[in-house]
Amino acid sequence: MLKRWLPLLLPCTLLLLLCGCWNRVEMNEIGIVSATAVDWIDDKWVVSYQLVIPQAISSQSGSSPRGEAPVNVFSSEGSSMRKAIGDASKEMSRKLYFSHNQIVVVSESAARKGISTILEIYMRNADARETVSMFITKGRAREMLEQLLPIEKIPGNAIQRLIENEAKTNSLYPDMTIYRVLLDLLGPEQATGIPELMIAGSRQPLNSMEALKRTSNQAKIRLGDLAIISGDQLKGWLSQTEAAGLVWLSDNVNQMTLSFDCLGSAQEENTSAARVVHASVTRKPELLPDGRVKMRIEVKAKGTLLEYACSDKKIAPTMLQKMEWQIAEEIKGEMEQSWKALQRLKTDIVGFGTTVYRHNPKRWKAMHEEWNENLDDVVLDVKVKFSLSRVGFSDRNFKEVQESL
Amino acid sequence: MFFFGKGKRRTNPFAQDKQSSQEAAFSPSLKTNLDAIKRLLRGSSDLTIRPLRSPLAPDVVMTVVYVTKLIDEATLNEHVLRPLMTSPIEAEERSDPLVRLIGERVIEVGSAAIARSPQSSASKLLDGYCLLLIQEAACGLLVDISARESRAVSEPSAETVVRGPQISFNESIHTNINLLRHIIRSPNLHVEELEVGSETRTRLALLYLNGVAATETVDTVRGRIQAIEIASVLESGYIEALIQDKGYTPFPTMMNTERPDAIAGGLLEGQIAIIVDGSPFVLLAPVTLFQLFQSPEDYYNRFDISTFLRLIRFVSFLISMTLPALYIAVTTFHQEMLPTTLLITLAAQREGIPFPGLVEALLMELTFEVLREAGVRMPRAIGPAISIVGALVLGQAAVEAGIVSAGMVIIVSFTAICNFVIPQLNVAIAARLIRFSFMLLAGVFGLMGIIAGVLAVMIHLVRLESFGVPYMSPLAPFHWAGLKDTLIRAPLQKLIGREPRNVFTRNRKS
Repeated sequence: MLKRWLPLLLPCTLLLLLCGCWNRVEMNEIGIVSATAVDWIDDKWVVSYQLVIPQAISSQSGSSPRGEAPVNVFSSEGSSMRKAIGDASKEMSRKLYFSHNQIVVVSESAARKGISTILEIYMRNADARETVSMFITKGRAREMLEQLLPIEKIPGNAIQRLIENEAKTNSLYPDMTIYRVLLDLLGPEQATGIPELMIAGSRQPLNSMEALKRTSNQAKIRLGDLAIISGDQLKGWLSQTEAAGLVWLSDNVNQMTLSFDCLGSAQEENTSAARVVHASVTRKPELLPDGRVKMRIEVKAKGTLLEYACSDKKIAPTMLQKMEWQIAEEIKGEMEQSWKALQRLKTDIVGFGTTVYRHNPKRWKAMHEEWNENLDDVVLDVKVKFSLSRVGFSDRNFKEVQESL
Repeated sequence: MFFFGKGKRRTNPFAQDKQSSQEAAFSPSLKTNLDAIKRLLRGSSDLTIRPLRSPLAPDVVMTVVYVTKLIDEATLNEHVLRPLMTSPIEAEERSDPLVRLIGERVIEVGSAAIARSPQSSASKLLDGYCLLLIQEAACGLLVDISARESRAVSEPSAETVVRGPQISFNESIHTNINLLRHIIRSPNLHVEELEVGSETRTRLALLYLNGVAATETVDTVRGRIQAIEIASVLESGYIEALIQDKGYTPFPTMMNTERPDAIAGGLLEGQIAIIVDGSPFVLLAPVTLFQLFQSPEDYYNRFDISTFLRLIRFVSFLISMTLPALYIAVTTFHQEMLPTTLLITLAAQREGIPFPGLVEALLMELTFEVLREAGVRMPRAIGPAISIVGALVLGQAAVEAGIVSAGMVIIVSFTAICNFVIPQLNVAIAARLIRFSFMLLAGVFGLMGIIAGVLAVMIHLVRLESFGVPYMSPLAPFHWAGLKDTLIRAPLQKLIGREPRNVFTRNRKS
């Protein structure tokens, strides 16, 4: 039997060798990119890469000397982005590996030029993941990649976790992955908001391991304003206070902590705090006879009292209702403030257009061209209902207890 | 020691003489008969011929012939020679032939029979019988006084259980049948004795439960055994190789075990056991793949524990086949599948490793196979030395020297341990062989190659049959009731009283 099969089997085995192991690449032949940055400098794309140095990160000591920086940042430039990435091989001994890229930081100049180039790459290529989180920065994007973060080993990874954590526990900014950016920009409004990444504190950069040896750092990477993109270009910025109501308007609330005034507000403002644990937002567009659109937004939220700094004798049930109203007013105020800011920038990043489109596709067809321009005409009708489900273990504030003794 | 000549081509002493002398019967002449026996046994020096005269017939010369080393001297003296020489029987019953008289009234041994020809007597002499020849009588008397050297029944060494009988078969076919008869005390247990091997004339017993085992399977097994032409059979492995279904497969289509309870369980389910003299490993056929993953202990433990353990075994089997291949595929083709942190940890380990992943894995796997073989083959006394060299020098030092990565050592060790979980050694070996081809496929095509390999193995398994029983049953062909005792082990109440499980008992072709 062997004699019959051998002449057949042998060429088949040799054929296997012919394919040259297809697209095999060993792990020590790839340069793992954890973050990329895109700058637009002198009419050229400058792409920067944050390359992970595995030996410096792995706990396995031995081959690597201690204190080596865990990442290395370098850039390459070109008239197109993919060409720039291709040219990276001129200065890199390893094949750049983008599948584990976590964030992409775009500089303001590049964002004003237009992010369509970046999105085009992500839509086209298999090695570029759409789960990458996107950020805009006001300075040079490359600088963001050079910063180290305390505790975390891979900065790119850490920044993504930062935005995920923020989106989950405070929901001020959503985690804008490329996928979501694509969804927004290809949606009816063609607008989106992308968080800003900035270096706070002194501009003394955190770009060496020496800087991490101290217990506190002068500079720190943090989330800043919200960049508003319309079409594919940067339209403007919303400050954090202006952006605060966006989560409510766009129905993206997970959990968040709110501060609110005391009743009568004779004292200093926003001294008490409550945590929103559950919220539901219903958004209903209504076409008014004069052709304008009225957005009815109903918010129902539940929360717990975290901190109470008002000088009332005791939290009575009647006061609870007033407190709830106070918080609801606070939310309402935030929403209106944000809405005004959006109207100023003439960009609908909260998805009102989508609701109109779903409500009445025909009318939307007629108005969608002018939608962002005519945002001023949209009437906002906000109703907020907040209920406190718990006030905690104490029914008055500490100072009151002390004085009542 | 091992010769596998085809039996019929070699000279069979008894067969040849039979042909030349045309079924020669004993002649009335004692001398002729003795000469015939001597000639048949080639004048072997351990053939003893003891002439004697008995008070039964003082004037007749009798001779007791036996092969010295095969008989029990005490039995010969006490129960054959002494009664013959001191028999009180008077000569008034001389009307009966003397041979029959001695056989019926003198010899005090269980088995005594008239022998008609020197040929049959000579072969019996080699089985430990003694032959009584009487002058003027054209027949002899064969008395079984055989003595066998055999090991005492001991604990099973290859298949241990925590709970359950701690007894195993030994090399004697008599002991083994004895052990089984003690477990199944039913008259339905049928024992068929056969003989295989023209030189070794190995005793072989076919056991099955009448009314439970499918008759045509029994006929198939018997037919295949009878068709064997071989000079020697030294272990049940010979029989397994010669009667298993045709076509190459790395998977065993018969099960072997040294545990009487496992064989008894098989017999009760309608399987057929083949005991080969000289081997403590008894064969069981037909089998399905799933049965090879069962340990007798599954039925002695609580069902939930047994189910858990069975699932562990199946998972281990899969791991032992595919884990190194998966590791190679994922780390050299599909790095994007790994979580970032894991990728970086693995990449850090791979820094400075000179070989590609496939070579590294093959190197470690081969090293381990060598270690394992050394562990089996070496004398017991050097055991600790091998484990120190194996564990410390090869494992730790290789990693520290940067020749293989720590991850690979973990993968290889875990694979090896998983392999040990499989109760049947020959399935474990099949998994080891397949693992290597999977590794090559993974090194060449990545996950694509593994999928192709797994598909090939699946197709092969589904096509396999063991004595007419589909190897993958009751999964393919699907048989719902059989699943209660396949991947899981249902509570005993659910298992008893159901229609006979399976596959083994059903008469298929009728």
